[in-house]
This record gives sequence, structure tokens and C-alpha cells, in this order.
Amino acid sequence: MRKILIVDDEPNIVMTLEYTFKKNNFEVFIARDGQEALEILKSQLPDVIILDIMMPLVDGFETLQHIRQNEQLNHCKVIFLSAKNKESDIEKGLALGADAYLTKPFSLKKVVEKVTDLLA
Amino acid sequence: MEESKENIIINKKLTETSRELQELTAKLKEANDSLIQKDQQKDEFLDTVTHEIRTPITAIRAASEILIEDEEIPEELRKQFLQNIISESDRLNRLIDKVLDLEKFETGKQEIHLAAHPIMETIEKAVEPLQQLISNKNIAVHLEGKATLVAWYDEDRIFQVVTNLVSNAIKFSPDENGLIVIAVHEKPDAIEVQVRDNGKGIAKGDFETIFDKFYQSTNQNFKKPIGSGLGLAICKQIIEMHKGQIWAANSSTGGACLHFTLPKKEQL
Repeated sequence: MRKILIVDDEPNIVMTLEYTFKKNNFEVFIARDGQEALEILKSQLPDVIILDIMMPLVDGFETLQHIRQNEQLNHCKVIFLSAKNKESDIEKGLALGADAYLTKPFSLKKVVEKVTDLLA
Repeated sequence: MEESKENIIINKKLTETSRELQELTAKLKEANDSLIQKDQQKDEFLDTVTHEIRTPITAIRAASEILIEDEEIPEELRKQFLQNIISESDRLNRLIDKVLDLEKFETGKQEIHLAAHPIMETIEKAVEPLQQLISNKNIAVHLEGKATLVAWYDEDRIFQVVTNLVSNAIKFSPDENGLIVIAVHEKPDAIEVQVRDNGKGIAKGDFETIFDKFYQSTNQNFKKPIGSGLGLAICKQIIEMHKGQIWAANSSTGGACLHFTLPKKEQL
């Protein structure tokens, strides 16, 4: 079973992603902020990480920097999923090493498609 | 001889004109800088409002997508997603109300109806609807002040201010042994209300900035504001309309303490 880590501090958004990816046969892990995500990544090596940007404690940009410094997580695909939709935010996200940048509000179908594409 | 006198006069006038020009240029530069700053603030405001609006829309859209696409969804989950749609719609509506409120205050379109009211009674009325939140977090609330104290204000608006300050105090109270004190004192020409909590308090550099729109507190260890980030900006507008003052400090025990004053009688 493929593993996905969802990092977002909005519980109602997380619930929709969790439901959808479980239905698509993923093992789902959830973190409410970057710090929790980094904690989970000490014991789990997910195939994909869906990462919000504006979060308490450690934001998405900072979290990705930590992830990209960890060789064990090299294989890990990272998708930013954020309400920040300015060109400059998207450029920054991709420059930091994200594999994709999707904006909120999103279509769940498209998020699943993007994840499937990245894992193909 | 005559000519040189004339020259001196002309020179004097030129120097004077040049000084005046310099002063005018400085004033223009100042006005321009202030306009640029206001423009930046407007951009930031718009940016944050957009972000705050998109978040509930995202939750509503995603839940609706599941409900429409997935016919096998368990009944309990179906209800949960519907409930989420309702609460996110309410959240969106509250945000819009606040933005419109703030706009009305800032442009002076908000009318206030001033009269003499017993302040303790207004405070009690404002705290009442928050009881559920207060007991959920097991917080003790103390009200201190004489029941006879009267101030000059618009009751609905001060109700709004007290609701906001007490909601903040609830939010920032510790998970255990939370204590909120609402104290009212009579000053020579004003009534002062204090709302204190025993949370982490406010960072020193934040005492003034917390009243800015969408200000994000640096001391709460959050990169994202809890709530809309408009509450205190609205409180400030309301209190200033009453010709009162509002300010923040930390109490001697370290928690945050928000103060505001109201006139005791009609200001002529």
C-alpha cells in the first residue's frame, strides 16, 4: 500500500483529503503543522507529501527545506496545496524543490490525478 | 551702486524661494511616502482577506465534491461532511461581516447611539453567550466592579468589544487553571474596563501592533492568526468612536491585559 502524508492545519480540509486518499487505497498519515510532519517523518517514509504553506509553528516552505535536506526522503514527492496563489509564491515553492504546486480551492479529482501522475 | 542693491534684494528673494521650494518638496515626499505605505497596507489587507476567504471555500468545495461523486459514503460521514459545510459557511459569513463592519467604521458610515448604561450589566450580558466556551476549557471568570457604575456608550457596540476581548482571553487561556478577570474601575473622568487572562501574555513589541488589521501575534508561536485577525482592529475603531482609549499590556502575573476607557457622561 502506498503511503501519503497530509500536512494541513484546517481539519475540515484534511478530512476530505483523508477520505479521498483512503478510498484510493493509500495509507494516510496526518500532521497539523510542519513540526508534527517532521516528527512523523522520523518513523515513516511516505511516497507523497501534501503540504499546506500557512501553518502554525513550522510553515510549509520551511518544512520542505527540512525534507529536502534529508537523504532518506529523496524519493518522496512533495505537492504544495495552498491558498497562496500568487505567481511569486508558486515560483518560490517550486524553487525550493516541490514536485508540484496546486492552489486552494482544489478539485479532489485533480489532486488525486496529480498524485497518481507523480507516482507513475 | 543701485544695481548691486537690486542684486542683493533679488538674491535674498531667490534664497527665500529656494528654501520654500525645498520645504514643499520635503512635504510632497512625505505625502508620497505615506500614500505608498497606505497602498502597501491595502495590498496586504486584500491578500490576507483573499486567503481567509479561500480556506472555508476550499473545505466547502471539497466536501461537496465527495457528497456529489460518492454514492457509497457511510451515513455518519455524509452527515459529518454536511455539518462541515454548514460550519465553514458560517465562518465565511462571520468573516464578511467583520470586513464590512471594519469598513463602515473606517469610513465613518457606522452610526452609534450613545446613552448612559450600567457597564457591569452590559459586560454580564456579553459574557453570558460565551459560557459554553468558558466551561469547555474549565476557565474561572471573575467580574469585579460596582453595579452602580454608569458610562456613556452605544450598548450594542460595547457588547461587541467585550465579546471580542473575552473571546480572545478564552482563546489564549492555558488549557488548565485558566483564569479571566474582568475588572471595572472608576477614574476621574472615565470608566476603565480591564480584561485579563493568565495565558502567555503579549510580546513587548506587539502592544500596539495587535490592533492592526490581520496582525499576527509573534508571541503565540503561531505563524497564522487564530480567528479572523480583525477583532481588535474593530474594537479600536469602536472605542475611538466613543472618544475612549484602548491599549494592551501584560498583567503582573504575565498574562495579557486589555484595557479600554469610556466617558462617564456625554462629551460636549
